[in-house]
Amino acid sequence: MTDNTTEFQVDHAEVKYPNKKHEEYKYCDVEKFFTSDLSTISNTITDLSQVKLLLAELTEHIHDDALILVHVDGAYQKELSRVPSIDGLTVHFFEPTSDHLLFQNYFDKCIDKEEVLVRVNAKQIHEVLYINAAKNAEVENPIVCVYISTSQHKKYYCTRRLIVAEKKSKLHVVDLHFGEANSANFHNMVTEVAIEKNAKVNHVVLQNSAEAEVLVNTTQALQHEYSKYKNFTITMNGQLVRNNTNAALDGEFIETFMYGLYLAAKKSVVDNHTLVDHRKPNCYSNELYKGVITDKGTGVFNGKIFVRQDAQKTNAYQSNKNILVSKDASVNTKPQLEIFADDVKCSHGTSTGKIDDEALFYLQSRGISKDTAKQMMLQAFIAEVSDALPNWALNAYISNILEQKLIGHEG
Amino acid sequence: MLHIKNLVAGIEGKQILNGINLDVKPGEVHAIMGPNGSGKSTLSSVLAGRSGYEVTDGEVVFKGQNLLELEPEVRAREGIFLAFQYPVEIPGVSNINFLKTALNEVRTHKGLPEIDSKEFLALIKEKQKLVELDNKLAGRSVNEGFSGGEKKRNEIFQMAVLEPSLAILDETDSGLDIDALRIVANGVNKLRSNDNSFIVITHYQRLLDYIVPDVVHVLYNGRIVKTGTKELALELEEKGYDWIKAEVDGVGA
Repeated sequence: MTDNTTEFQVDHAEVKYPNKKHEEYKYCDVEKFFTSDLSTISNTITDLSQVKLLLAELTEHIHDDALILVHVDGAYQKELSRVPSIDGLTVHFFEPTSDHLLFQNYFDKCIDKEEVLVRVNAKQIHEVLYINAAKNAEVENPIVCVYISTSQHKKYYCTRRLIVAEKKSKLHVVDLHFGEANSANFHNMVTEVAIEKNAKVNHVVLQNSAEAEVLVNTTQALQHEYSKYKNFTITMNGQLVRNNTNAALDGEFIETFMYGLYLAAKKSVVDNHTLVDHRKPNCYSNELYKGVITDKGTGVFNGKIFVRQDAQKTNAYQSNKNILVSKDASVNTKPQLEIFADDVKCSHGTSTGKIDDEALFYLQSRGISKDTAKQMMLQAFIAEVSDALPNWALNAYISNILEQKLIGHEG
Repeated sequence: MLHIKNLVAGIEGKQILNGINLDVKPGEVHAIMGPNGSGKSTLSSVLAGRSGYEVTDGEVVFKGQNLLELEPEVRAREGIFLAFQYPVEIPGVSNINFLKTALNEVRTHKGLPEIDSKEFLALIKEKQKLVELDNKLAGRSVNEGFSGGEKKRNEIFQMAVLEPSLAILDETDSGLDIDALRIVANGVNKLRSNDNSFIVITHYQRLLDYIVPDVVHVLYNGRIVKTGTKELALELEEKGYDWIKAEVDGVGA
């Protein structure tokens, strides 16, 4: 599938992309990246040598029997991927119009079509990656979806996924975003996750795009009764990264966890918008987002929690904490709770501070260098999130990258 | 060991130390007493290298080196230890890992190999006993949720592990009940040797019943105005600081 020449049918001049005038995109000017030199034709990729190097490094840390689905500049690469057959698991590419029953049931159903980038995505994709865990299937190894962008052309591309965990199934999905050093692509990604009764999905998203890349990543989970969804969104690099992470709790006794970790350095903007929509009674949601902002980086957190009138006995918690490492770093945080039920427990908290000078001096006064002391404190700060990651082989890889990134941060 | 000559220093443009002279030889314990605001904590901060303090005159020589030129961590590696008056809580940083990192920094500086985990654990066990520090506390985050007494014991515990040549105890007795005071003092006394020196900064004489000093200095208005033996501390306990203030201020008038 490397030779993928479908041209998009969208005229970018016609689309009104969000810019700073939009309340939801106040700090995240997407429009300005739709420049005339952005190519919407996915060219044939001629040189995969760098991609293969990146992959080789990565696969060392992944289970031998895990699935790896590799995309380069948005196009699936069969020959670089590893798709062993696993009981109860289906991985397939569907056309958006496919009449496959489950696919039809869930595709493009609960996603917010008011979002311009979601609407545009629907028009521009020609295939949907479908990952399905059948009823009762417990898929032990993570399904690793790798998205690498190359620097051969400045491209705009869309990808789309539908993940369905049928009743009582278990599924682990890991998304890894990487870019060749000079890549300046724009990736518009949309994922829907349908989690049926008693099913569990762990979803880890690791975004380590190239410095000049733009990534808009929309995830919509639809949860049925007694289901559990855990989302980890870890952003380490990229010029502009916007995550819209939404969960609709459409049944009783659902659990939803949203963890986020974002490092914004240099001039990067990392914007996390989350929505937890409590529609039915007796559900639990917990959200913890932590940010380390340095240089001239900007962090944004906007966390919405809706508790609808029906959703009595809801427990919903949200916390957002930030550390500003440098003078020019900034963070904009906005919790938004809209509660229409009267018998609920909800809380939210937000804090933004800098590295505690007195603690830094305390560590130094014991012989620890300032840089090491800073790193120890930043690592302690993010540990609340990184320690909560599911215990997979990939964790060592993730914490390695985090450690390197934290060392790289200079106050 | 430590040689302070005419040290003038302050913070935010306000001069607090007005010419300190002090000589500490190996094996000596010096007590520095003085009323509130006399400059005791400023002196300890300047010696340990806390940021924000400006030295405008004088010199501090530690083991032949100009101490004031060194970063705080280098001072620590060279053998200076400050037991904080208010030990800092650092959530998420484990006490043990922190101490191991610190010890290895000190060892590397001395040209010693890093300590292995087994040796380190044995060392920790031994030193914990010294200050009767609960094993559970050592496993927690640095000072997080520790009581006042536990924090002070943790300071002495760290000191015991790092084995500094000059320890500065900054009002280590403040906020301690009599039992904790005894434990802390015991820990210090066990570490006394012919090579190690201590500067014990305190407001009250009480601590000096347990840690018997070789020399007692009285700090007032940023100067050492009186130096004597341990009997001076007893005299201060009995008479308070007013007579010294009167003496000094009288001379100044």
